[in-house]
Amino acid sequence: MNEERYAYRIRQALNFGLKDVPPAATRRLEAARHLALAKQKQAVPQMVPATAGAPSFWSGSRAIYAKQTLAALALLLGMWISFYWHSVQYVNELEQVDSALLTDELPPDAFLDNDFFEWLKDDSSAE
Amino acid sequence: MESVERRAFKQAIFAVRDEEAALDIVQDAMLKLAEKYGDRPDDEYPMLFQRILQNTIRDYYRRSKVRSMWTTLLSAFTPDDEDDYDPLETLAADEDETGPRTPESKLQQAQTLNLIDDEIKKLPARQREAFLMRYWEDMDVAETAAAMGCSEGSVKTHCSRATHALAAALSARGIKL
Repeated sequence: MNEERYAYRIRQALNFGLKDVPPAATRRLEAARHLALAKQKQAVPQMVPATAGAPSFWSGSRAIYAKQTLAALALLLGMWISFYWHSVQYVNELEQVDSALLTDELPPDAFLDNDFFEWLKDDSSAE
Repeated sequence: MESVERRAFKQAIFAVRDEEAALDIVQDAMLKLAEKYGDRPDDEYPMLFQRILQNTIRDYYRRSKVRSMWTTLLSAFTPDDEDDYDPLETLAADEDETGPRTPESKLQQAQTLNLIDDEIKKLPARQREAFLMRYWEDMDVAETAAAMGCSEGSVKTHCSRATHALAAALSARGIKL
């Protein structure tokens, strides 16, 4: 027996029998269909970044999360670099002041002496 | 759409053998499909609808099993739907609904259709599901397997057994297709 052919004949018989569905049942099925269509879930429009192009690894909701994570990481990296750069500059300035102080003829204790500042004032006013 | 819902209605009747219950099942399945999966691509609808339909039929079985258990406990006179089912009653009822057709050939045709319906109802549930999805709903083996939640091999086996069982039963009743 050819299964496919036999099944096809049964299918024909079943299709033929469809017209015998009672009118009351047909009406109720139609009403159910209208009800279902009225309640149909609509596809929610999603925000798509302007850079989104042809489908690739960088498309889909996962890619959006990955991009957001990458952006946050880049921001953190930028902040760390900025902080590091400023701290290095600050240390360099301190080093310069310290080295100037140490290489000067004046002893460092002189700067802690109030009389010294008084002398400086007097000295500048004398000039 | 109309033919889809009519086929679904017939499928439900094959399974539950009750017109009102079948209508409820198809309506529930349509609503579930629309409410939960209405935003899916169109080509997924046949498989999703069949899956929902079969699940709704199974839910109906579960509910009616619980209901019959309670009614049996409460009243010993309540007949069991499945045990007391008589195919001849359904056959007679179907003929009453459609009304007798005057030409003899049409009557024979209707009787043949009823016998085919009858034999499909008698198939084991999984075989019937696989056969109807595969050959009536025109779903391929992969789609049928996805809708039934089983392997493609199982679908082929169910379909083959169903076809052979139908052929044997119908030829025993004098129907040659």
